[in-house]
Amino acid sequence: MSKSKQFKTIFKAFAIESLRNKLEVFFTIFFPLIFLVIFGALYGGNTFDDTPDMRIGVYLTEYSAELESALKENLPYYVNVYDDLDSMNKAVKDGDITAGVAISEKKISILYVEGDMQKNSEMSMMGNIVENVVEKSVNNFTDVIEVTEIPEGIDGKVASDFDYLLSGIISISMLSAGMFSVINLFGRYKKTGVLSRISVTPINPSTFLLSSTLVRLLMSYISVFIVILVSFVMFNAQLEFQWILFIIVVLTSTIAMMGYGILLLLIFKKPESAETAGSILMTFMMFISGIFFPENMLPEAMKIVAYFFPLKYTGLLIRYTTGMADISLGTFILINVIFAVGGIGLVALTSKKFLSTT
Amino acid sequence: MSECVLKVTDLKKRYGEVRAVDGISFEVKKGDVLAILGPNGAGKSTTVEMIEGLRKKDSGEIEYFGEKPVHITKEVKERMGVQLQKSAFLDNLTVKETLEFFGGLYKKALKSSELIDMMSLGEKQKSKVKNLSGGQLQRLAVAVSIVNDPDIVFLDEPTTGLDPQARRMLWEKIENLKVQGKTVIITTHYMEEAEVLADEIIIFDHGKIIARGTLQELLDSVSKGKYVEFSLDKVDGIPEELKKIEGFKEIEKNRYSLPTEDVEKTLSIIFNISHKENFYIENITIRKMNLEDVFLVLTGRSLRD
Amino acid sequence: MKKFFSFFTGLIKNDFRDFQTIFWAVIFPVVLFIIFSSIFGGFSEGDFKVRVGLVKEEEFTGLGAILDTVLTQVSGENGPLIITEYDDVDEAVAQLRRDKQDVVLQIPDGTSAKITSEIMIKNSQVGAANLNVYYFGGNQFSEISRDIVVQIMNGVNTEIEKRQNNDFQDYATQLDPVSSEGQSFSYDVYYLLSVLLMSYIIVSVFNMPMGLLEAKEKGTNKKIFSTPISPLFYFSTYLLKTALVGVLSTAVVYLYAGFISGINDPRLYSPQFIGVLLFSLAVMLSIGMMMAVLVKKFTTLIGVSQIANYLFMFLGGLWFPVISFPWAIRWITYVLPTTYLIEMMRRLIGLTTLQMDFSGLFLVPLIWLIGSIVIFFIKFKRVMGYE
Repeated sequence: MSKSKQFKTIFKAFAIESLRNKLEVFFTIFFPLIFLVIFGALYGGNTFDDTPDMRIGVYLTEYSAELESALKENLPYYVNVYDDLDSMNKAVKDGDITAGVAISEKKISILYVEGDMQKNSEMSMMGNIVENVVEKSVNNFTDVIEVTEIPEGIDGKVASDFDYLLSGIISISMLSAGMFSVINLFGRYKKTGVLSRISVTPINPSTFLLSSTLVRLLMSYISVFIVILVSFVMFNAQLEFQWILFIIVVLTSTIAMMGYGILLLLIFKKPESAETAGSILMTFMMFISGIFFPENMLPEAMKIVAYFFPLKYTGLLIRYTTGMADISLGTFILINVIFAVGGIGLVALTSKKFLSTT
Repeated sequence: MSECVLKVTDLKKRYGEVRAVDGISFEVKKGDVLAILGPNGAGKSTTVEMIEGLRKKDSGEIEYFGEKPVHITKEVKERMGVQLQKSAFLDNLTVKETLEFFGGLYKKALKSSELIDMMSLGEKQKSKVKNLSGGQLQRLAVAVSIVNDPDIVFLDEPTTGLDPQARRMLWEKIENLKVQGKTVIITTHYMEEAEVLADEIIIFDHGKIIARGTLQELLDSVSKGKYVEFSLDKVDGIPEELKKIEGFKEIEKNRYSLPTEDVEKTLSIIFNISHKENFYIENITIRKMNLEDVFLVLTGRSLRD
Repeated sequence: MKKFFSFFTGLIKNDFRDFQTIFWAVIFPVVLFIIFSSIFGGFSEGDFKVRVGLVKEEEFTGLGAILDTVLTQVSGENGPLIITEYDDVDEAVAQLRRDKQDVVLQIPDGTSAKITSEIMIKNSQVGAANLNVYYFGGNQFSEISRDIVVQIMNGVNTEIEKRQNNDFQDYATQLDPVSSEGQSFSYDVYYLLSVLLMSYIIVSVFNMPMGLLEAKEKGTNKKIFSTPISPLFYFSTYLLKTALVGVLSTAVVYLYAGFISGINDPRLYSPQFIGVLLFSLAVMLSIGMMMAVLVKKFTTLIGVSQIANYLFMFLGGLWFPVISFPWAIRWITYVLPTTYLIEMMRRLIGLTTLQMDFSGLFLVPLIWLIGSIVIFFIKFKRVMGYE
């Protein structure tokens, strides 16, 4: 019969239920936004994306106009020149400049405020660059070897750090929407008896499953599009989406993550415990899947672990659909198919388990 | 003879060592109200849930409307209305939306407005489920159970946890179902509920049926009599002569009861003794036997134990 | 005293039998610490390798052989590079795009000749040998890799000049972090502090107000007030219980750090440090108390708690230094108490990230502490469930 009528009925009821549930709306829609704003601000977004991204101070013990102009011309940073060491040091401590470079005879000191795990390597890198410029200017020699830096992108489009980050935030928002929604759906409704009540009606488990998860999928889409909208308006994102592929990725990734949620529910039984485990998993995935920190800098073991979590692949797919990663179409399809089949398989298996008799 | 809508034969279910349902057989005729009575854990809900298709049976047969499917079918579900003991609905839907939601899952559905009137939920139709009181929620659960205009309705402990007023109101609604000719199966551990509503009563204990019949049949099966209950004006020592009367029982402190088939005769015996032993009889009540007494006699335990 | 004990143990039992409470307040901080120390272990030690796709369009001859020597050195066992040779630059760049290489170095035909003539004949007019480094835009690691390759080539230039010029003025570069004042500093300890403060945030913004509000909504408070217990007594016991969860969480983190990850910095056990921990716990708990009276509904509270958690954690600079935030966000961080609390802890292990006198760091947290307590007592009756 009226499978379509049943479908509509359930879809409508669960949509109303979800939208009226302020907590659910908050977690699926506004929560990813908080992330976007915090990390967008941290990484500066594209609004603040002036090419030299660091401002440094320079103090020369023996003033040399030649050296000063060499530094200003050749260093890839904004350079402020200071007349005395104290005022430069103060500027470093106040955070007006990222580092202060004091150059005396045969010695370059780099003064900076520690407190970020990348700072030390960043500073030693900067030290090398300054040393090179200084030695060249003082010894008055030209380079025998010159290096031209050529940014690559896909189809000639070079992505910015922020765009990269954005792809990660989009991935996270749909993964969390997918995972927590099934934990909620099957866990909470099972516990409160809603599922039992529905299973005594003449409804097909698959109809129920399809319509109730479709609601979550749409919520996921809404959440993703709000994140994108805000990132364009607030942070001047430059992503170019291949919308059709993108929509497919959102679909399969959300489904895959629903499968993950179900898996947790099968392991932990109690919805609260599954939710807790889900939060841990999200935190863990965020840090090891190459979204906030370059994957290649992780210890080997962590890199291997990352292969087992979908966030790595979702991030890759999103970057592919936004022209930031190059994978073959075959790989793209394969990952999507695995996501979809795996997710649907797990969800179908469980829905049967949760809706059927005991 | 009227049509048999449900027939259960030798139904069994065990959980590990516990025989939750141990060879239950009964049948229900169209238009009857059957009450399944028993203490908590007697196997009432398990039996009903097996019939509803929520639990798998270990063995036995269930015949619905003259057919014996291996598993419950959609067609059967279309003709069946169910109210579960733990009736959770979607919290954020309103009463009206909830009825429309469940209505949408069946081929045929009654109008939500009709059901709302029937269950006196008019004032609350726009309230969200989470804001309903216990009585309102139970009335909604009953309304949902008949949303598909079913031929048979299962009500599992429909009035548990309700105050007497809400309970009576719900009873009225259930009686209306009977008037409409629906077959109703109620599980309950309130004997009064069974007495008020049921045409036939089945008493469960330890997964078995220990008695069945109409209220009168059940009462008669135990005794045809009544009880005389009374107190004494002195507390110390019950006269030996009283104790010797058959069936004498102290039901609470300074409250005694005697079963009798001839009230007058029993009263005169008691008064004779009181005269002789020099004490007064106080607070005499004469009451009919009820299901509680039947249960007590059959199991030696009270229903509420 | 008997009253106190039975009430206190009741509350404690109720809490400790709830897996969620124990998990978030006690176990989660340790889990997070494990995640951070294992992830950033490799990060700060810098033992990562850069994958370089090398395109040699000629065989090196003459003085051009210097490139060979350098490339062999840097790609050896202990060198930072892993070199894969490609015949064709397009092929190599395709690998870069597919994230199979971090960076591509192209050495065009004629490089050896140019190097030789530049070295042999000063101002040869031939011009410097030009190498190309391709990197993937937006990919942080590719950008880092590019910088490393450029640095190596700069080193080669300097080396060549040094060999020719006997008067070469050599500079030594020295890193001079103002923050750690010459004391040893490890990122493990850095994250340990963050984790400690984070556990107080969790106890305070989640456990504290949620427990109170739940007790109010369930009617537990009313039930308790029907006994001869005074609301103030009830509340103090509750506060003490929550504080105990915080202390327990600290103990677990310390035990893990000391016995399993081998952090035994004596500064972590100094009376000042313990004092700062207690002060932090007090400040955060008072904020939790304030939240309990300001938010009416439990469901709203869940949202508010989450936001508070993220603000206190991220914008308080627990994971990233406040100083790297743009100004628009930085003013928020200056209002948050966690910014100062974490700074106090860091000072005591010899790290400065915020320029301010140590005593000045107390100001903002104290305002929060006092403000929260005042607001709590003004609205005390509401959360306790009696009017």
